Amino acid sequence: MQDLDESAAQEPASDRIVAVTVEDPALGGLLRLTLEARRTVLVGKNGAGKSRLLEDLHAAALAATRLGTRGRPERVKFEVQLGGVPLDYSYVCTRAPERTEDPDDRMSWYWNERCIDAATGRRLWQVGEGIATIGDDQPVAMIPIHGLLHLRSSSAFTFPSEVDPLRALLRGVRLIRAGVPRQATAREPVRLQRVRDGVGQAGSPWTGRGDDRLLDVVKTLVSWFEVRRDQFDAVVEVGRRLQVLQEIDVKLEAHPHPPAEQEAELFVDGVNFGLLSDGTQRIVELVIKLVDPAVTVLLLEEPETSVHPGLLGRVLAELDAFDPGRQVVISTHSLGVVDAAAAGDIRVVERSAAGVTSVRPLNADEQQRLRIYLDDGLELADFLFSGALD
Amino acid sequence: MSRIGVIGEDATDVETLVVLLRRIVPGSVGVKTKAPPSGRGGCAKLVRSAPTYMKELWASGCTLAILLHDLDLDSANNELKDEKKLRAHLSALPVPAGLELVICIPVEEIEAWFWSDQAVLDRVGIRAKASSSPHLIKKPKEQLRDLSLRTHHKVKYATTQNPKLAEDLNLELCAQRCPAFASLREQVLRRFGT
Repeated sequence: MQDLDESAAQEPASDRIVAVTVEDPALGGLLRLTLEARRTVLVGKNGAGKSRLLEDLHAAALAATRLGTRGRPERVKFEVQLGGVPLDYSYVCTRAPERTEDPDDRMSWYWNERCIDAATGRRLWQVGEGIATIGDDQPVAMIPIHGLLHLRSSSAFTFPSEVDPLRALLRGVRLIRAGVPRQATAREPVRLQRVRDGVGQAGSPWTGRGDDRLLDVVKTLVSWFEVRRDQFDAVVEVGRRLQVLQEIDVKLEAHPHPPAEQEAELFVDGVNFGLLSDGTQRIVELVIKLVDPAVTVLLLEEPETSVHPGLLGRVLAELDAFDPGRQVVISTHSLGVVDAAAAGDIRVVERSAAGVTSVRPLNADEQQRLRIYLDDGLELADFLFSGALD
Repeated sequence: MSRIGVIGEDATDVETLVVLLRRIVPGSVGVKTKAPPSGRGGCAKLVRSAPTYMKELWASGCTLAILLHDLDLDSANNELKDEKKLRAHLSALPVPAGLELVICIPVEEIEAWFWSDQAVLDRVGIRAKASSSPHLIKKPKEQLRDLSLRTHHKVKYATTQNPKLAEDLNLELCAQRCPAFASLREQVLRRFGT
């Protein structure tokens, strides 16, 4: 059990999200979530809004950095630290009233964003209704749906130096949802096909049939096996440390039926990935995100699902140790996950009778009462789940 | 506002007692509750955690703490455990100065209190008669469940209903027929009653 102040002593990430504010009617309006430098743990009753909050955070990061990913929430502010400098990046995505009612018509949306240096108040850039203003320079016309984070740096004008690292930070937000990857009732082997000159979903050359989450895992590992062997090997190494697997093999064969060119199968200790236990599939899914160097913030819903308590402890230790520069946000009902956290990592998510979700750290009174438990040799979860917050 | 703390081994038992307390002293006291997280060891964990819970309740402004602990059956011989021994064990727990501890030991468990009132049994929907000595009923919770199954051919009763049943329980009748409840009510009224 960590001391109350240990979270403050953790080495801060170099670029990180300090807080995110989203406006979501389903959460009752405006909500601000502060994130710790390394690990943040959301606790709260079922229906409080933990999952929705993580989904909003993920959706907001996607919308800010990828075209065509509009969706809730429409009003967001990210407070970030880039190279130690505090920045506030906010966007509002609004519908252009004169355009069509088709929500997929990109031109029917206006993208408005602003980035300021939070320490000095200096505006770094602003985009509004198709006009970009960078610093004090002359405005530049843009396509209304675009923000600076949507564009490549090789565009027609000079981007502020903050754009690339901010884009990398937000693009690296990944969500692993609750539940197990398999949705189908029966287990089936997963096989991929590659079509000559074909491009599957999300630019992968591989396609397959089955649950999306399972396919994503297999496609990623097969792609890494082919072009990023170091990352593939890292997954195997972490899997061995967690004692969930010994070997991962990829079998590539010529496909007997054109236009499919090649077939791929992924085996864990000789078993096709689709036939593995739910818990093992989930752990491999998690390890991939752990190993992926592009991941900056990992949002993890209920890591305890289908995972043995002993294995869960090893997973948490691996999350802590693998990449000190990465932020992890966990939502949980697990006593074990809470006990592994520091009091400062905890965010209590509550929903009022009026349907408004709030999120907060432990207040001073709660921290004082928590000390009673820790002094008596009890754990953080004993305090949190014994009715202390009711 | 005065505050009562309720400590129990099970969140449902604690909620049930809170309903009864609010009926015994309506409006005049606040209530704070403590129960070990589910899956954290039941009775044994309750006894280990109770001193800490009492410290926290006292720090939260409680002046009275009720420790609710079933008497239960001894699994070795299927007979009731020794109430005097249990009470002595619980009475030896350290209590913060300024906090009064009331030990409430329903025999055999809190569900026995529901057996005192025919209206509650009717509400559960079972064909059974109320008892003038509910503390003599073996496994009162299981009996409620089994009779519910026999009457309706499916289980209609679950302990999650207990707080609702407590809203209907005739307090006077329960006090006449259940010594543990009578003692609890008397002590709470002595302290907070008008």
